[in-house]
Amino acid sequence: MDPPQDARDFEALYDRCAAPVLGYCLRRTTPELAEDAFAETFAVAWRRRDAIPAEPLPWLYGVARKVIANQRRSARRQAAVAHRLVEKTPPASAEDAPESSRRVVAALSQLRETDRELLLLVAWEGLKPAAAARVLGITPARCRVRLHRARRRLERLVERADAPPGTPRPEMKEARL
Amino acid sequence: MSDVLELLAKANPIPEARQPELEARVSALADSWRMRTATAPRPRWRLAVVAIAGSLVLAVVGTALALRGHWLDFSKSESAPPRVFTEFADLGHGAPPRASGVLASEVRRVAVVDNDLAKRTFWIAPNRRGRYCVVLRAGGVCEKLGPWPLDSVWGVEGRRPSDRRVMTAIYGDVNARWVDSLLVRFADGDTARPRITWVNTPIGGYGFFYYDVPPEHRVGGREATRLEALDARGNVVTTSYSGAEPVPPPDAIKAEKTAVARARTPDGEAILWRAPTRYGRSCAWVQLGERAHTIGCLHGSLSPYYTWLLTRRSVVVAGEVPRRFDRVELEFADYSHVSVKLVDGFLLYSIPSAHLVAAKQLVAIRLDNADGSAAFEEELTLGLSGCNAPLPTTERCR
Repeated sequence: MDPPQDARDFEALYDRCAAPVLGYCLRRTTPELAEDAFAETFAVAWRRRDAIPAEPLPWLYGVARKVIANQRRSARRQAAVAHRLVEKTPPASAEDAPESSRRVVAALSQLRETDRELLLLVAWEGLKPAAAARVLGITPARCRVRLHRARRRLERLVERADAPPGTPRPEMKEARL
Repeated sequence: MSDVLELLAKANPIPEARQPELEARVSALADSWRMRTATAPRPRWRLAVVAIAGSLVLAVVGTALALRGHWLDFSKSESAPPRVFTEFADLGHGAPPRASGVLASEVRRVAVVDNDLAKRTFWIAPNRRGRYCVVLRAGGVCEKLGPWPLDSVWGVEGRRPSDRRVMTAIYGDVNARWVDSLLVRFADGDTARPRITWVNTPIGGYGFFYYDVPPEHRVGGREATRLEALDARGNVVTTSYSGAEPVPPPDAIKAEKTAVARARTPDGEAILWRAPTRYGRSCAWVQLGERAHTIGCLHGSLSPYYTWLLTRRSVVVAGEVPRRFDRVELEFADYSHVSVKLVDGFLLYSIPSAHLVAAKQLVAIRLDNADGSAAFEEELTLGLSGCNAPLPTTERCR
């Protein structure tokens, strides 16, 4: 007997999106946790298959993001994961990356999670701001502003890392009423 | 892609070159998700905690406040269908602080009787913080309705009247602490008294109303213009307007106003005023020459609110933020930023002329926690003009 239509549709979705979703997970956590998050993401997608939009990848990234966030909330895992992330960022293949790229990744760790995630969605997942907005659940206009600011914050962090110690924070002004 | 993004892309730990490796791993994991869907569901402990908390709230808090008008026992109200539970539960995810804490498992149907004796459904859920959320017709938004006398919405139901001043429905809630009845005033001098359906604990003595404007008042010149909330002696406690509310707000006792902050602008001095109200709150508004904007009458708000005074030469941002913050950070498009000291939770800042061009315009207003993390961020969209951008304009902006 043939599988029902929704099962066939889901198989097609899996064939199309599994590799990018696994890549997304692997870029953000350890291989063991990434595979766990990957499986959980598609399990959630199956349970909520009626809610999957026509362009499913940003939606799946959004689910994977929440799954990974839940993993990190697990108190016992958190310490171990944080330790591994410090040790392994940038991960194995990034060792081949130029020194300048490694400095950017190091600076990336100082950004807030939302800024970091947005930059990675664009730089690593290759998403346009409109698609990244769907992952983060914000409007495209807000996403563009946030991207603009996140990029600038990253540039400043890189500049600061390159500056000699004791260099004051630039462009800070004080205003009073 | 900019330089920094290009550098970041080069550090991608799973670049295109590793795609075949990824595909192979995906094949090996093909059944992993299926195994999860086949396992027994995990205990929904969070929902259980919420349900228990909700039950405790209902059990601990007493029953009715008083028997006045149409009182409705919330605990005996019809429970909501799953579709509505889900909608309320979703409101908790990423909801603003005032909407969070909704006890979605306790959402009930409150049938509010309108002026035609028809029943209007308000879905209402208590809130862990002693407040509540309401959704009018599933699909609406959760609003935290606060401890102020009247909260009303003026809207158009069905076909839009040709005259834009005409509203066909007024609904909302009143607080029994101050309000006893409502009075609708029409442009032709006519009046009407909407019914109020009062709800007991845990909603806590709020009354809900839905006024369906009768056909004879759905024409220009006879439209509803004001909704007055009256106390037991018939005194007006507060007023809601169909159109723009006058500035200073009518609730403010203007004889007792004080200047909270002043800022110099190319158009003269901007002043942020505050005055007490008859119901123990205070109203704030900002004035620059003949232009004035209300900031609000909810002093002590839980989330920030900002308003703008835009002229041909100056831009003034004014607002009110939760009292726990003493500074606000303004970020500009040229990556500079400024830290502005707040006065008693109020912001008044005239943007310097150097930042009144698109390339250097204000792009965000941020409130930081003590640890430096952002507590609230108001991001302003780049590329807009007129009244939608923090830039000088010749338009008459409200």
